[in-house]
Amino acid sequence: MKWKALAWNKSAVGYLFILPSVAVMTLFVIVPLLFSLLSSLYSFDIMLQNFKFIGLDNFHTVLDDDRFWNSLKNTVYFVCGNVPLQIVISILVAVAINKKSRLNIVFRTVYFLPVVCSMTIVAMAIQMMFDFNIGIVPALLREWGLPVVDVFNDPTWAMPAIILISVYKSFGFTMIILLAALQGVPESLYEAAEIDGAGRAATFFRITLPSIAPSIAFVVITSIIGSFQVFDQVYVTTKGGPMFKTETIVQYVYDKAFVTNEMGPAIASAILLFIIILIVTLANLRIGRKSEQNF
Amino acid sequence: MESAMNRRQSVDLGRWIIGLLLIVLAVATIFPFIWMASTSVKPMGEVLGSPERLLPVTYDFSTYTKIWSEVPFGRYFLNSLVFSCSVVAIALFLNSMAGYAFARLQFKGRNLLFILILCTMMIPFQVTMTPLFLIIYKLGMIDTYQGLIIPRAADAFGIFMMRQFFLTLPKDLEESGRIDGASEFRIYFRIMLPLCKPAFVTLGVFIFMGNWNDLLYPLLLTNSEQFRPIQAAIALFAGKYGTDYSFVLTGLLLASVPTLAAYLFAQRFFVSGIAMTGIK
Repeated sequence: MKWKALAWNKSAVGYLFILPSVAVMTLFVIVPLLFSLLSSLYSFDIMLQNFKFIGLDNFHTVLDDDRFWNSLKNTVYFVCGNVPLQIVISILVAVAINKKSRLNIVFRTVYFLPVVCSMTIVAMAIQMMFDFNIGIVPALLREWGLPVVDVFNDPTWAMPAIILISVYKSFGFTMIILLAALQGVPESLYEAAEIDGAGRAATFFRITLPSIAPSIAFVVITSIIGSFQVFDQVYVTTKGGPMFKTETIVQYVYDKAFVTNEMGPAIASAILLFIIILIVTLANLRIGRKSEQNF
Repeated sequence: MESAMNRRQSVDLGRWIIGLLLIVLAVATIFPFIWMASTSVKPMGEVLGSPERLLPVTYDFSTYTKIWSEVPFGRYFLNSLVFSCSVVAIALFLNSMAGYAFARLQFKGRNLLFILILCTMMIPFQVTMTPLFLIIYKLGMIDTYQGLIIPRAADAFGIFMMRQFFLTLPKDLEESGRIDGASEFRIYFRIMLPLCKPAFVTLGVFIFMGNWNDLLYPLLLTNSEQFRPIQAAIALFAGKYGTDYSFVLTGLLLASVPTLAAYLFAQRFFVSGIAMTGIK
C-alpha cells in the first residue's frame, strides 16, 4: 500500500512536469486535428453554426474541383524541381567545404545567410530583382542584348522562378545538416581510399555518399514534406497566378478557408494533403530501408 | 613519374574549379542582400531610370526615416518582438520541464506519451490551422498578443531537443540532490536549469527565428495593424506601397536585421544545436 502510494507520488511529479506542455499541445494541436477529421464530414459556416452531417460530400466537392487537381499538379511540379536541386547542390557544397579552414567557415556563413531571413523577405527581394521595370537582372540582360522574360507574370517561367527562390533560401540549411554528418565520417576511411589510389570521383561515390546516406535520406524526406506544404513564397510573389499556374495545395486550402469561406472543403483538402504527405513519406521510408539493405 | 605529375596537376586544376564555383555561389548568395541595400538608398529617379547600375550615383537615406512615420513600422517591430520573445521565454521553460521529465523522471506511460508528442511533428500546420483559428476566435483572442503566444508555448521539436540534451548530462548531480532530500522541483530549478544555458541559447535562437519569420500563422490570427507582426505586415504593405520600391526594400532589410544579428551572434550554437538533435 505504502509502496503503491510512493510510486504514484513519483509518477505524479512526472505528470506535473509535462502537464503544461501537454495541455498546450492538446488544445492547439490534438483538438484541432480531431476537429478537422470529424468536421470534414459536416457542413457548417465560419461562425461554427448550422452543423449538418453530409458524409464524404466535402471530399467529393474537392475531388470534383478542377482547381484542386491543378493545384496538386503544380505542387508535384514544385516538389520535383525543388527537392532534387536542393539536395544535389547541398551535397556538393557540403563535401567541397567540409575541411576546416577559415575560408570554408566564411563560405558556410555566407551560404547560411538566406536561411535565417524569412521566406517573405527573400521571395519579395528576388521578385523585385527580376522585376521587368526596376529589377537589375532584366536591366542587365537588356544591356547585353539578351531576350528578357517577365518571369513572375509568365505562365511558363513563374514556377521555375518560385523553385529558384526556394532553393536559394534553403540549400544552406540542408548543407549544415550534411556537414554535421560529414564530421562523423572517420578519417581512416579516406586515408584507406588514398592508399588504394582512389580518385576524387571514386572517393565521393564509394566512401562519402554511402557514409552519409542516412542523413541524405533524412533531408530528402523532410524536404519533400516541407515542399508539399509550400505557401509563403507563392503568397507574396504570384498569389497562385498567372492563370493558376503556381497555385499550390496550401494556397487552395487558404483560399477556400479565408477568401471564399468554404470551411468544409478547406478542411477536406487539407486532410487530403496530409494523406498525400503520409503516403509519400511511408513510401520513402520503404525505399530508404530497401537501399540500406542493398549496401 | 610523368603520369604522377599530370595527375597532381589535374587534381590542382580540379581544386581551382571547385574553388571558383564556390566563390560564384557565394557571390550569388550575397548579391540579393547587396542589391536590396543599394536600391534602398537610391533616389526614385535612379530606381526607375538606371536599374542596371548596382550602386547609386547619389545616396538618399530618406526612406530610413520615412518608414517609421509613414507606416506603423515601429509598432509591427514591437509586435514581432513581444510575440517572438514571449514565446521564447515561455517555450524554453515549458519545453525544458517536459524534456527533463521525459529524460529523467519515471512515470507510467512515459514512452508512449513521448512517441505521441513526436508524432505531432508530422501533422502539417494546414490541417490544424482552420480549427485553430476557430478555437482562438471562440476564445476571443483573435488580434491579441496572448492569442499569438499561447498556442506556441510548447512544441514537439523543443521537447525533443531538450530531452536529448538532458540525456547527455551526468546523473550524479541530481542523485546527490536527491540524497540531500531536495524535491524534484528544487532539483530541476537549482541544479538542472543552470546547466541548460548552451541548449537554451540554441533552442532559443531556433524558436525566435521560427516565430519572427513565420507568415501564415500571424496572418491567420491577426487582422488589425495594432497586433500584426512584421512579416504579415510586409507581405500586405508590398501591395499598398508596391511602386515605392526603395521604401519596400528598406522595410525588408530592417525586418531581417534581428534574425541576421541573432545568427551572427550565436553562430557556433547553430551547428552544435543541429548536431544535438541527433540527426547525424
